[in-house]
Amino acid sequence: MNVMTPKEPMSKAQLLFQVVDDGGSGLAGREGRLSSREVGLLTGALNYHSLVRPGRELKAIVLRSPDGQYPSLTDEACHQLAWKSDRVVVCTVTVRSTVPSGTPGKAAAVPLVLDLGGEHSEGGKSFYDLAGIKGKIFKRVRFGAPVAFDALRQGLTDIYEKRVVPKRLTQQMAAPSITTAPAKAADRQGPPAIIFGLHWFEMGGAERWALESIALAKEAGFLPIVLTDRDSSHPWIGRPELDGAVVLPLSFPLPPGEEADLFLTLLSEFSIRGVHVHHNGWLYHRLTWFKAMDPSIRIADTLHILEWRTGGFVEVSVKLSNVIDVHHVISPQLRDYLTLQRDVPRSRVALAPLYGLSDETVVPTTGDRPDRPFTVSFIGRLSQQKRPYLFLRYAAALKKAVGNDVKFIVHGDGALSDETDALVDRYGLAGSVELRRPPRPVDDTLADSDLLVISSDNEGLTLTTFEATAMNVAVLSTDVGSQASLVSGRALLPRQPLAFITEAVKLTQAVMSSEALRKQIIAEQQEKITALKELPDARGWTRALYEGWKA
Amino acid sequence: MTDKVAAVVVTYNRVDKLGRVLDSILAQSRSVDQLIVIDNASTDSTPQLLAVYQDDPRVEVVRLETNTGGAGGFAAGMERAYERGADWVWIMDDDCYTGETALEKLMAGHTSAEAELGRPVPYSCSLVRYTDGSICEMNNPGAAWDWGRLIAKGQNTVVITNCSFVSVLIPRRSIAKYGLPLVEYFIWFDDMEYTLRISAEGPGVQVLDSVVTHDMPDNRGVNFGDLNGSNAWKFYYGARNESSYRWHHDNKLDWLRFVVSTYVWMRRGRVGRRLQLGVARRILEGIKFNPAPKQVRSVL
Repeated sequence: MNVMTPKEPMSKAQLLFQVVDDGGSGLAGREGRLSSREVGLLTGALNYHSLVRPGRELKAIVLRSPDGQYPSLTDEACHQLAWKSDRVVVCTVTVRSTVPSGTPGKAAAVPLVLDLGGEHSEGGKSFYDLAGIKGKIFKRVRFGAPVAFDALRQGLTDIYEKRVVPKRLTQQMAAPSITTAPAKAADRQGPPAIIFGLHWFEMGGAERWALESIALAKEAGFLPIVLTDRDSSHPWIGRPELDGAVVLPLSFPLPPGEEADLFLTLLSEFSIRGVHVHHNGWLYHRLTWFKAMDPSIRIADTLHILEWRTGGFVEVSVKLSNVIDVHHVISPQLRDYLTLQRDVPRSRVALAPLYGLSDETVVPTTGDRPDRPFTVSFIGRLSQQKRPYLFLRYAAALKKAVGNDVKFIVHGDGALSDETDALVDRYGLAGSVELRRPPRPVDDTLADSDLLVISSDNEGLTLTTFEATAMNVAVLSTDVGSQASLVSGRALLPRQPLAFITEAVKLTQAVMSSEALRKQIIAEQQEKITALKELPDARGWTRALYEGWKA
Repeated sequence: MTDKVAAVVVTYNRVDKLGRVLDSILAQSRSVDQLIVIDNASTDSTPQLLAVYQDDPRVEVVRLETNTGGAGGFAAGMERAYERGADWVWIMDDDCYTGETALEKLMAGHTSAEAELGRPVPYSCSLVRYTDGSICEMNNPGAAWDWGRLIAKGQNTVVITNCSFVSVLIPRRSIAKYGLPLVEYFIWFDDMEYTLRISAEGPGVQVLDSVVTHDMPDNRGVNFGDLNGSNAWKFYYGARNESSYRWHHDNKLDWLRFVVSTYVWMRRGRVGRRLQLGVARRILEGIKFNPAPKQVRSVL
């Protein structure tokens, strides 16, 4: 199969097509009308259509949407020759699929309409993003009284967790009993490849790790074929880890029959050695098909976080566990959930925590804290999960209790940026809270902090705690997810907002008045991290996994 | 990877026997990976004795600020062991001398029982002897209706419904699913409640090849006929805890049976009216008393 490697500034992802006429898009490597992110999306869309229509010429009209609209790259709308009035035609491109076709002879060009979406269409939907009048009321209440609303929501979660979750029964997929001899890797045609399933190409801990594992696959000599299943403008589609990969940002529903065409072509054109799922529900549900088609294809997934109420991807993974060769989990909490609560055999669960790369050298605490007002920080995305509004409410309560001896820093960006800005004034924190935005380094904020407060509703294993520990910053955190694996037992706080505020204020006051206590908390963080680091680390474990997939 | 076993010993003012208990645990044919000693705020020379063991990397001493009773001590030790990543927790009192192969046999018996029964076994316990080699009257487990099921298959193991906390091996799974013993019970019936609670998916087993010795002052079981002014505090806990369990987690008929039998034992033992009233009050307290078990968190 011909694979073209284009020049800057266009996407460095693999192209499964030849550019016949780039129509000024920038697809052929020249300066064009599309941004590099849009070129990445267009390349991904044309790769997909080249795979489902091998050898065919594709004539694509490329649209751009208003801000906030999602791209439509592979779904049924790509075959409808009419579009909404607010879509703008940016260019028309013609390419020819370089995927070998089984059918000889010429065929007519395939018309396509590819909508690249608009800017700032990421982050998915939050629970408060409902349509209609109900949504308006819901949003008004949510943003009118965020802490009270959260208290109600957490209360409902508690009821659900107590009464519904214990009764949850997952209907597991039956274990395959394939009798045919598995195909030998060496017998398969095409370059050795690993299929990766991602949620989207956006900033996030799971995505960061997924991209790292893609880089590890390339290091091991595999071609990564990367699928996403969630609507997004995919701001990270141009990340260097994706250079040389076949990137397929899918939008749904796929036209009837195309799913099978896509997979059959992938199996025939590439020597698929394994599938590694990182938060991709669509691919999870197709793992049984891959295993049935070729039992020698190795299947792994990586799990990061156990969602309240639904279990999220962890429950999907339990359902598909019989066709997954190994579940990679990043925390003891997930290992125990799978093996002890859901009875997944221990032999199929690998605990290999994911550490930050910037926390390698832990400097022991020496001397007293610098001479400055006691500084408490929040670091993370300004999102519903991280609950910046709760941090600000706690900051207001602390300020009321201790006066002006304390300073706060909120470092982050995200969907709740506007709310955060507004709440600083509303809670009377103007002048006490410094708002910092990326790309300012997190290390700067940690260097200025005495205490990091994590107010999240849920977490995996927070990299920020590793970084804070490396910089001798004490951490107070909600007792959620795997935080108990990193944070001192005495610094764990209730998830319920009102109890969180009361406990966090009390504990912060204790820490402010006792440097010895602050140091004890840091020492316990260091002790826990040291113990955790005796486990195999995610990078080493994944490298070994992919080495095993070469055979 | 080899499973990690943590032994947990709860002690309170028993310095004369504790050393022998710890030595017997540390000399097991299947070595323990960790020995957690919960010192329930002893007021004798227990801390000095325990200081001798600090050089052994397997030993961790946790001194509690107050005496939390057997229930509080076992809950604290099991929580610690779980958080340290133990796959198995082996619990016992501070006057329990373990036979050299007690742990090895317990683990082997537990594994064989699971294989034969085709389900997870929630716990397994040893055969408890008195110092003269006879059965220890206080530590006889309750036999299940099919107690001989494993014996019929050639295993020297009995299916049981409950047991006391003297050499009990608890897999991590049971603690993850059902939490810790009820700290609020303080003493008495905490072991019975716990072993019954974790048996929701099927009963536990007693591995007869695994033997320990319980060095009690007298080899006799206890009943409410033994109640007197000096030991009443213990019986009061027992009355409240068992009443609570029978009322809230068993059935009302068994609660009634418990009340009647308690009365009969006291009558037979000629227990004074004042003490009888004290027991009756604790039984009524049990109806309002219904603590929830603390759940564990995964740390390592």
